[in-house]
Amino acid sequence: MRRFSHEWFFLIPITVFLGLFVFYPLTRVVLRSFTDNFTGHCTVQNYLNAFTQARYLGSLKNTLWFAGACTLVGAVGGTFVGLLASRMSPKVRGVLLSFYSLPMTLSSLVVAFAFIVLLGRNGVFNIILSRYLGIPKFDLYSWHGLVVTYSFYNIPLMTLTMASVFLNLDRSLIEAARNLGAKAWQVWIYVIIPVLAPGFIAGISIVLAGMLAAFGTALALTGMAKSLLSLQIYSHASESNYNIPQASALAVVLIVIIVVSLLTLNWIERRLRPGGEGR
Amino acid sequence: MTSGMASAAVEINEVSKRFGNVVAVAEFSLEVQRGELVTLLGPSGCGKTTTLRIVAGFERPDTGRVFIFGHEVTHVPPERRDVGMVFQNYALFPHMTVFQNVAFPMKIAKRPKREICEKVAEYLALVRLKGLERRYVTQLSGGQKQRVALARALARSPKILLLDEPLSALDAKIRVQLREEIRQLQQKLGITTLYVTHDQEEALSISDHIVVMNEGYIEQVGPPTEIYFRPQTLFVASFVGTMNFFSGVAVDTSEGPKLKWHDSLLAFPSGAEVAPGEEVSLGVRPERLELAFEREAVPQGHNVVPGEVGFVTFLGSIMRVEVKLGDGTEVKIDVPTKERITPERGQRVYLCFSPEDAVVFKNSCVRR
Repeated sequence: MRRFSHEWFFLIPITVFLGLFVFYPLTRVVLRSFTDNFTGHCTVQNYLNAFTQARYLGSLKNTLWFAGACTLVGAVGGTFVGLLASRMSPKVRGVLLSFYSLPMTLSSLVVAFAFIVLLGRNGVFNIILSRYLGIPKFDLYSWHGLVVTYSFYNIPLMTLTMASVFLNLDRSLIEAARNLGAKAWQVWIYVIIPVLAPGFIAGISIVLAGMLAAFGTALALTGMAKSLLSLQIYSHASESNYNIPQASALAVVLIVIIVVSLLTLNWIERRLRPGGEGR
Repeated sequence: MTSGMASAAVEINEVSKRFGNVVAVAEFSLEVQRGELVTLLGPSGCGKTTTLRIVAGFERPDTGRVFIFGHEVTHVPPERRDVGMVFQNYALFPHMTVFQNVAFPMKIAKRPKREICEKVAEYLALVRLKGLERRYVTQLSGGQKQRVALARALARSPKILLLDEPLSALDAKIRVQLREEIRQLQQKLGITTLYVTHDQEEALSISDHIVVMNEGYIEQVGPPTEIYFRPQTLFVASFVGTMNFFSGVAVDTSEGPKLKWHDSLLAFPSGAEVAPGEEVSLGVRPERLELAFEREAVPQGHNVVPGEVGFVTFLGSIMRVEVKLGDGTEVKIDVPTKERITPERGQRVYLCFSPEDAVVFKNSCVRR
C-alpha cells in the first residue's frame, strides 16, 4: 500500500471539489425532496405530486418527447453530415468540423437571440419567407421551433462523433463483404451498420442526456411558456411559486431518468461492441 | 483465346490503369493456368496490388479485359465474380465470431444451415483452427486471424483465390510457417491462386511462376529458378536476391569478345551474343563468387578481379564478405563457413567466378 501513498495525495483537490460542488448539493437535493415545503416534516408528497399533478406529468411527458425528437433530428442530421464529412478531402473536412465545434462554445443566450434575429416573428428569414415567397412564418416559439433551435447544437455534436466513426470504418471490410458475395444493401445491413452501431449509440447518448436537461436556450426563447421539467424546476426554485422541496423532487426524477437512459444506452453499446458481452 | 475448354483460369489482357497522373498498371497481360500459384512480385507502388484489385473487381481498368475461366468479367461487380480474396489487414468482421465470419459468404448465398455448419467445420479444420469457432476475431493472434481470413475466402469454393500481401503483418517465424501452409493448402485444393508480395524470398519459395513488376510494367515472367538464375533485366537481378555487377564495354580479343573492366578482361558465358563496342554488364550472385588469396589458386578459365577485404559479416552457415575493388565499388561474396576460410579486413584477395555463372545484361535492354 505504501507505493500508492503519494498518488493518493494528488486526488485530494478533485475529491474536495467534487465533494463540495457535486456530492454535497446532490445529497441536499435528495434530502430536501423528502421534506414538506412549509412544515419541514419528512414526506413523499413531493414525489406523489410529480406523478399525479397534471402540470408535472405534462412537463415530464414534454421533456421525454422533446428530448426524443431532438435526439432523432440530431442523430439523422448528424449521421448524414458525418457521412458527407468523412468523404470530403481532409482540408475541407477540417474547416467544416472546426465550424461545427463552435456551437458548443457559444452561450445559450447568444444562440437564442441569434435565432430570434433570424427566425423570430420579425426575423430576417421570416420576413423573406412571408413577404416575398408567401410562405407562412416559421414559429420559433413553438415546440418544433425549439427542436430546430436545439438542432444547432445537436447536429454538430452528432456530426463530430459520426464523422470520426465513418472515418474509422475500415474500407476493406466493405470490400471483403462484396468479395464474399454481398450486394450493396447486404453490406449495409450485415457489416456497415453493425460496425458503426456502438459509435452511433455513444453519440446519441451525449445528445439525449443534453436534451433531457435542456434549459438555457429554451428559457431565453419561450420563458415558461413551454413546460419542460427543467423549466418547472427553475420556476419552483426562483419565482413566485417558490417550493424548493418540490423542485428537488422534480430534479431527482430528472436525474433518475437521465441516469437510467444513459445506463440503458451504455448497456446496448457494450453488447454491440465487437467481442461484446452477452452474445 | 476467350472461351472454350483450353482457356486459362485467369487471363489479363492488355490492362492499363491510371490514378490521376500516376500510371499504376501499364499494358499488363498475363495468363494463369488452372491450379497454378502465380506471384506478383515487386516493390511498393509497382502496380501489383492494383492488378489484383482489378481481378477482384474493386478497380475498373481504363483499358484492357479480364477473363476468369474464359468468361469476361471486366465489368462484372465484385460480388458476382466468385473469387476469394485474402486482405493484407485480414478484413475480418469485428462484430462476428470466427464461425460467423467463415459462414458469412454462405449465409449471404442462403445455403441451408446444416450445410453451412459442415462447411465451416471443414474449412476451420483445414486451416487448423478447430475449437475457436465462438471466439471473436479481436481475441485472436495475427496468425490466427489470417487463417480465419483464408478459411472465409475458401469456404464457398471460389473459382480462384487472391492473396494481397497476406503475411506482411506477421512476424518472421509465423510468416515462414504460414506461407508453407498456404502453399500446401493451395496444392491440396488445386485452386488457381494469384499471390501479391514484395518479399522475394516468399515469392521464390511458394510460386509456380513469378511475375516481377516495376512501375506498372512486367519486367519478367518465369518459374522461380529462372527468375533467380536467369534474370532478364537489371531490375529483376537486383530486386530478387543480391547481384554484383561488372559494367563495361565489350572488346574483341583472340579468344572472342570479352568485357573490359578496368584492367581486367572478363569472359562471357558461352552462347552470349555480344558485339564488340557494346555496353554490357556481367551479373554474378554472391554465392557464385569465390575468394582466392593467391593468383595461382584461381582455377583455369575463371574470371579474376583483384580487391581488398572490407566488412565481414558472420551469418551462421555463410560468411558475407564485402570486397572493395580497385575502382571503389563493393562486391558481396558468400563464403560457406564450412570452408573454414577467415578473410581479414584489409587483406589483398582475388575474386573469381566461372563465366558460366555470370548473367549478361545489355545496357540497352536494361530499361524500357
